[in-house]
Amino acid sequence: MHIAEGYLPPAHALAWWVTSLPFLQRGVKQSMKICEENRYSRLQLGLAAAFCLTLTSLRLPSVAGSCSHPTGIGLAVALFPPGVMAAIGFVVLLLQAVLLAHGGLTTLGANLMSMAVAGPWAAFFCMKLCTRVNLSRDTSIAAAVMIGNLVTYSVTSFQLALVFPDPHYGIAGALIKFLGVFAVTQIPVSMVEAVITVFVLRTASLQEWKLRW
Amino acid sequence: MVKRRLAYLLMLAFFLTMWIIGEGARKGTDDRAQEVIMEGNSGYRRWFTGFWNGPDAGTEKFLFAMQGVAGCAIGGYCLYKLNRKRDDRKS
Repeated sequence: MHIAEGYLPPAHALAWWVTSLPFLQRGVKQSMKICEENRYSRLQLGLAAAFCLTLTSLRLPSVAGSCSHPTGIGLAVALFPPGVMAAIGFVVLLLQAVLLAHGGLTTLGANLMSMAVAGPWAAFFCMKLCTRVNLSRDTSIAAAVMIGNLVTYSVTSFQLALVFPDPHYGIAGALIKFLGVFAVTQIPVSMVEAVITVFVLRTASLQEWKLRW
Repeated sequence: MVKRRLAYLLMLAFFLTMWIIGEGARKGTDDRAQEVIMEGNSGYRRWFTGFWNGPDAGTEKFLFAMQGVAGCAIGGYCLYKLNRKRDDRKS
């Protein structure tokens, strides 16, 4: 999720920026439209943004002495169109890159693409699918958060594999190597994030709020 | 109301516990990925290392904690306002 500064060559960094900008533009537009609706919607958007800000500050312990960040995309995806997460994710990633030197400005496009575009959209489609097969709301959201989290880190692995292919097995080999680094840690973290998201949705009595999807 | 407050306290306790454990000697996956990159590509040199090297370990933990506190504060305010609106509607 947080590819550090300078680990993507200029061409790759620029390409990911160019790819993510339309999503960011759309996300900002959708967020502004939500803010104009009414105070209720603004508060929900604030809550979703705060949830992402809080969760990405955590390092959840995982297996084999490792730890990782959750993505915090669950609440935004449950309450708003998935495009909104691009705007929220941009703010969070920018703050972390500038204040904490975590991630980077050149790699912000790539990090945005993984955490704030690919992850939320994967979560959204997962929720749609779970609803179609009549799974409960909580199960749908939990599954969506897990899938979104895992897709985020899968995209990060792909981004790194493109730049650093394995000398023998190429991009595929490197992808498996990076997935091995992220997936082992991320599976338990994604489960914890799913539980937290469902817990927050239930505790805050957000059930009666109209889910926009 | 009491149940909701208890739930919020539980959430806060959980986040604090996870933060304390996570900030221990555990290696992050982001750092591990950088190691994997350098293992297979020892000749790679980062073309840009940022405008500053980032805070030291202690300051970094503090700033992450502040990020979490800011998120909890904003989220807490929004939750409070939303639940108050809901309770007002019910009454």
